[in-house]
Amino acid sequence: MYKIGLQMLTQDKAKFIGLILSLSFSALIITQQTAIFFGIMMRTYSTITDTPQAEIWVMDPNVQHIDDVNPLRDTDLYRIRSIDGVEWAVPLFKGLIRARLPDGHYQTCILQGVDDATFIGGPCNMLQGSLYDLRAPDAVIIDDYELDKLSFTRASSPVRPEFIEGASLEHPVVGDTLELNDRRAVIVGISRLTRTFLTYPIIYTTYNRALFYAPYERKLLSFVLVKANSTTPAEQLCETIHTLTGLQALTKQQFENKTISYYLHQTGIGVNFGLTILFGILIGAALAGQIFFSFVVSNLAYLALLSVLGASKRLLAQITIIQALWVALLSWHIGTGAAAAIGFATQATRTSFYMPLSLYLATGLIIFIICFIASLIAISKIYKIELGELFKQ
Amino acid sequence: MSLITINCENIEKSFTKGKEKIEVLKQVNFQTYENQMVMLMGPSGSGKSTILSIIAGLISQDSGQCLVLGKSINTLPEREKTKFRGKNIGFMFQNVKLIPTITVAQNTAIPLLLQNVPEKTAYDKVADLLSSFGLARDLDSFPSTLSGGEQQRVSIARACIHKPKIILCDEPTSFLDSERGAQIMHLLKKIQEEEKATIVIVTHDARILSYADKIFTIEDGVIKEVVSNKE
Repeated sequence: MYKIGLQMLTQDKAKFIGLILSLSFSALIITQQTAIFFGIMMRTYSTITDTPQAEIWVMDPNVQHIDDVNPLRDTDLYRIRSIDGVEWAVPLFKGLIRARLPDGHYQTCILQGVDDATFIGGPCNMLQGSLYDLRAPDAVIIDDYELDKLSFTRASSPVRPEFIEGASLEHPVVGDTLELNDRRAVIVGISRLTRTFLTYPIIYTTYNRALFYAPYERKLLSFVLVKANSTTPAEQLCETIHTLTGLQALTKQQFENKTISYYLHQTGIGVNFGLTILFGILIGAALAGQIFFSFVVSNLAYLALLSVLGASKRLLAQITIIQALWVALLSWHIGTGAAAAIGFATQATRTSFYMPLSLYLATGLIIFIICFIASLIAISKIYKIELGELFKQ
Repeated sequence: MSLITINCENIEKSFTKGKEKIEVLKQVNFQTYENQMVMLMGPSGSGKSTILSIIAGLISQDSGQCLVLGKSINTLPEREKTKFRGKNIGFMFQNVKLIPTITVAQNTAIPLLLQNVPEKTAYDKVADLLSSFGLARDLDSFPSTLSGGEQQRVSIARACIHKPKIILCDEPTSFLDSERGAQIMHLLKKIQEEEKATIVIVTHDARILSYADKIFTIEDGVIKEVVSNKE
């Protein structure tokens, strides 16, 4: 009988397609908006993600997120190195700097200075050149995601090519020179890491060279990256570092969460995306509920017929629930599939899109709940069927 | 001696329309036997369909007793009543009432599937029956592709596929021409005789009265006349 119930649903093509489309659209909105939200949130802590060697990040107690740099004293590095349980501790410089391009134009960049000896904190994925090329004089590595912003014209004209017909901007290549704070910087490699939230180009160099490029301040140490030894749990070492130095020490995960928390609570991102997702759910629920309800109502005469022929109300309710679940199953996959396809199609663009398995499952759960509630409303109608009317119709 | 299949005694039924109370059935007495075709005749609103609904347990009488195969169907719990109806009563409706979104075979198989007959057995039986009704080619067709007469034959097949002891028919020939009406009545007569079923037909169609073993004429909720063709 369930098969017949499903056929009653799918053969009513106009209503069936309407149902599937409305719910699929709802699933698409929920998945796509949430995936973009996740993608944006991941970008906020991309520096932490792209520094996998560091288990612990030590920073000023007032730091709220990865881009909020309150410099430490140089001696803090040595104090941390002296704590029991620390396998190694290296400095990291992170700050904004203006780069002067060869054609004379300027671009604000993120300058990241990594440990001179170990290059911990440096890019893990190189497209051109090697991380070890940073040993060369004035060497810097640039990230390829924002190469457009470092593009320049090789023509001698001081006018930018967008104002000259036929001229074009070119991406910098290995061997090109930039000026950072009036000091020469030679590009020795191009990396590809995670896009950043701020969308500034990232320039990597060694820690000491970064201090040379950075505008002078008394304190320039941004973070200390730490690895716990094999016998000390990272959380425990964080507490020890905090107790002994008064600095804030967070595991990688804690620092990611703190960064996300900052952006969620201090910016409008969470509320704005939350509202969009909520409206997706509400619109989907209203459309699907209404269409499913009208589908059941239009089929009430046939459900009454089945009841007269010997189908219990319980069986009719089960058939209705199965119809709703079938609609949910299809819509869930069409919606999430469409969202994944959009994500795949736009992966080379600036669109942020991250769709984990949990999002796929959560969307399914929401769609199933919408359909289940719609079917319950419809079932209440089934229990009120007047069978005696059947001989009068 | 033939077994009594339906025994309605002193049935009364009224409906309220606004503040007005309409008495539809007044002290109706009515008996049928196995292997009997009974027709109920009367003008619109005389209470014919209400009698069918009470016999089928779709509505309850206000007073009196209606025994169907020895059971007081309207006092059975809802679940048992549905089960009893599904097993023992077949239905033919005035406007056929085939489900348009499922095939002819599926429409016909419903009573068997509701009694948990395995799918293959059910569809085999359906194929045999529909073949004997001249509908072998239409098993996988949808009802809308069939003519009125063919739809009515499918409706008969659905009513008798599970070999019920009673078949209730509401105006089975009202929208058919004489020839197709006669075909339908032959089929019903055949089923009555082969299965020893009781067939109760509500009709306005004087052309089919000759098929009846007994004719009840109802007027204003009262059985006015009983004619027995066999006598």
